[in-house]
Order: sequence, then structure tokens, then C-alpha cells
Amino acid sequence: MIEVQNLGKKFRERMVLNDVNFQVKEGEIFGYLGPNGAGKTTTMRIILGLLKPTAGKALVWGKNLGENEEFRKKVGVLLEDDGLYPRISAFDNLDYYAQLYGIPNRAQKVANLLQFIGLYDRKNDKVGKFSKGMKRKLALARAIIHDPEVLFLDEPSAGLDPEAQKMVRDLILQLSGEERITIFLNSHDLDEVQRICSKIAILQRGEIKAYDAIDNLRGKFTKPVVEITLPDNREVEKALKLLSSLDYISDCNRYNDGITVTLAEGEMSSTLVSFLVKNGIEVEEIRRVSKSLEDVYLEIVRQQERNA
Amino acid sequence: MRKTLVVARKETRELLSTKSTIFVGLAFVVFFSFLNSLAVIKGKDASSAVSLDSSVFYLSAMIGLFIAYMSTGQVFLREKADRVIETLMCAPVNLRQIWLGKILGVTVAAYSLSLITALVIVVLSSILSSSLLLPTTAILVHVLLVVPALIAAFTGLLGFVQFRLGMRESRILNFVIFAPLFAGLYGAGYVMGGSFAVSWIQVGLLFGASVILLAVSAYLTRRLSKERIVTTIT
Repeated sequence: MIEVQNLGKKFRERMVLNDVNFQVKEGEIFGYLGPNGAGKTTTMRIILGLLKPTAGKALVWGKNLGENEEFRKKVGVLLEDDGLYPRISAFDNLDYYAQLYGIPNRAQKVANLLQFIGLYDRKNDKVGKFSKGMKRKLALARAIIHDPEVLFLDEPSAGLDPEAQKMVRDLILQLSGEERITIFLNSHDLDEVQRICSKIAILQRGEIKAYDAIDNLRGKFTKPVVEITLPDNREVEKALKLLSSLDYISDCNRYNDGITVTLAEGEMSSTLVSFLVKNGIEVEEIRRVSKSLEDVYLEIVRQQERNA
Repeated sequence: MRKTLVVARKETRELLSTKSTIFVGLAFVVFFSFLNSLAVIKGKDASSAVSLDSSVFYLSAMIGLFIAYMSTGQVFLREKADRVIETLMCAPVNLRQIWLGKILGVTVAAYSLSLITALVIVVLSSILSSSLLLPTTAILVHVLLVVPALIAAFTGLLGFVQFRLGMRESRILNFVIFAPLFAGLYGAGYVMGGSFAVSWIQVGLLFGASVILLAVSAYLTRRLSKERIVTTIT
């Protein structure tokens, strides 16, 4: 559905995107991650036809959205800035886009959406008086007013309180699950991406550094970590001394009554346990720590920095 | 055309609901109309009609242009500065429809005040001179046809330039335009002292110039890209 091939973008002499490739399939929630200035928004702008690529192409349903007005009708957009008109009411803001998209029975549709986002009581208030969270919700409502088939979201929950963040997350999941809307999510909120995305791409300095399903990336980019609980301080000290001599351990840290051990890739935690027991260490508990997307992300970013 | 009208309606509504624009606009209308009405009745009976013509000819256009100048800053420049234009360009509406809709929206708002200006001058001059003073047919055509065309052409060109230029350049340009425009408004009363006669040729030339200017801006807008607008925001 969304196809980005060998995409490159140069602003004057500065390369902002370099050979970016990915695909987003129908119904997928795709997370596009990267630090500030990595090129996420530029990629989205190119896909939406706001910018022209210097190299490669970015197509939606095989079309360039910038040149195809008909296809833009099937796309919903929430950019980094809300794109709302502060001097007109919430109702008029939605009604304006409802008219541009040619929505039948638009007054009802606008009223329903305002009710859905909890702003119906404020429908006649000028948007300039709204809080950041209210504006974001309204902008999200505007993005879905025409029942799009693809939704582009740039930091949708930025500046929202936890309750509103949850509402946005639930809405995205609902749109993807019930309406089968494909979602392209630009974000650096790793927790949000982890909760809702099925596939991600990590962009750094204009280049894709990782592109896969989150679970696959967890396995690919992080070393196994185990937490070992020991009966007392003395055992902890003893274990630390023993473990420092092992070459299949990448890292070893103390925490309360235990230690966290990062194993080298491919190493099994059972090998470690047998080693400790054989050396007279009394192991109370051992558990494998599941890696978060944050760990994956940091690992990739650090790896790239080391390579650079 | 439907989408152009949607944009135009929204712009007009937004401008007319902005209290500062309406307040400043009406204050200018009342102040300058009153000054010019005084200038009109200063002339003797025979020359009053000529003064009324030149007064309506000049002031209706100047007020329209001044309000258009103020509104263009809101409709084109602020929308660009706030990045609202980016979201709009993602909707199924092309750049020319957006540009034309904005011109129409500004023209309706600014022209309404031009019309009020012309009416106020005629009514005030008649009251102050205790006789019914009416403008000539050429002036009526000027007010009904030329003034809206002039406002549209001015808005179109200024809007195009604000879309095309960077934010800093646009602000400098706005400042450069403001000085002669404001001086022109104050100069209206001075010009009236000379009481020049308005001919059909003047009206025709001004109309022709407005149409050409509008056509040139339309041509230039056709060549304007979304990328240019997006990359000149910051």
C-alpha cells in the first residue's frame, strides 16, 4: 500500500534522506522511529506530496499523492502542527474539512465526531482558547472525518496528558482493528510505538538502520539478559568476582540482592547457572529479562554511533 | 469551483469574525469618509459633484486595498507561519484553488468595507451640504466593477509573494508596502483638494491593469510548488 523505494532527499548540499526503503501493508500499524532531525517528518512530507524526492520514489497505492487529488481523498493526515484555525470554532474547523472532502450529511458527522472526542460542549468555542490536548484531539478528529483508508500521524500524542494519550492509542488500535485503516505513525515515543505498532523502521541520520516486526528486532538487536537473585551480600560479591573472569559475559551489574548479567549473543542462561552452582554460589532465583523497544532502539543507535 | 468557494467562505467568515480587523476597518471607513465628506462640501455647488467623484474614486479603492493588505497577512502569511497550510495542502484541493479561494475571501471582506466607504461619503456629503449629491455613472462602474478587481489583483499578487518568499522576506515586504499604502490613505484628503475629474478612460485603464495583474499572479501561482511553500516556512 505504501511503498518507499531508494528514497533520497537533499536540501541544498545537505543529505537529509539516503536510500530509504520500506513497505507498509494494508491494515498494518507502521511505526517510523528516530531521533529528532533523523528525517522522519521529511519522509512523511514526501509521501504526502508536500516535498519532492531528490532520488527514488514514495507511492501510496502506486500513486504519487502530490499529483493525485482523488487519492488524497482516501488519506487522513495529522502533522506535527495541529493545522487548526484558532479564530474559528471547533465545529467550523471540522466542517471546513468536511466540505473540502465532500462529506454528505456533514453536520451530523461533525457533531458525532465532536461527541466522540468529548468536545461537543465546546463546539462553538474558538479553537484558539483550547488547551494543547483539546487541539490535538480535534486535529485527530479532523484527520479521520472522511473515513480515510490510510492515516498518517506525526507524533499524535505529543503534549497530551496520560488519559488523552491512552485515548489516542485506543483510537488508533480501534481504527486499525475495526476499520482496517492502515496507519503510518511517526514517533519518538517508544512506549507508544511498542504498544500499538506491528512493524517498525528506525531511521538515523537519514538512513534506515532497522526495519522489521518489533519481536524480530528484539531478538536481532539485543543480547540476552538475566537477573539472578542471591541470598545475601557476601554471595553477591563472590558471584561478581567469579563472573568477571568469564568471556561469554558482556556486562555484569549489581542490584539490591542480586546481579544483572548480559550474556554474549547465542549464550544460554543455563550455562551461567551451572557455572555458579558448580562454584558453590547459592542461587535463589533466576529470570530472563524481556527487552523493551527502548533497549532495541538504544542498542541500534549506539551501534551506529560506534560504527561511525 | 466548489472547493474554491468552500475556501472563500471560510476565509470571509474568519476575517469577519476577527474583531480587530473589523474594528480597524470600520474605524478607517468612518474617519476617512468623514474627512473626505468635509473636503467635498468645502467646494462650491458646481464643483461639489467633481469632488464627490474623486473622493469616492480614490477612497473606496484605498480603503479596499488597505483592508486587503491587512487581511492578506492573516489569510496567507499567518496560515503559512502557523503551518496550517501544510495540512490544507494534504486535502483534496490544489494550490490554485486554495490561492483563488483566499483571494475571493479577502476580496469579499475588503470590498464590503469599500462599498460602505462609498456609501458613507455620498450620504455624509449629501447631509452636510443639505442637497442630494450623487456620483457619476463612471464612478458607479468604478465602485461596482473596478474596485473589487483591483482588490482581487492586489490580494492575488501579495498572496502569491507571501507563499513564495521566506517568512523574513515577506515581513520586510509587508513593511515596505505598508508605508505607501498608509500615506496613500492620508493623502486622499489632500488629493481631494485638487478635485480631479474622473473619466471613463481612467476607470477603464484601472480595470485593465487589475485584470492583467490578476492574470499574471494566476500564471505565477500555477508555477508555484508545495515544496516551495513548505521549505520557506522557517
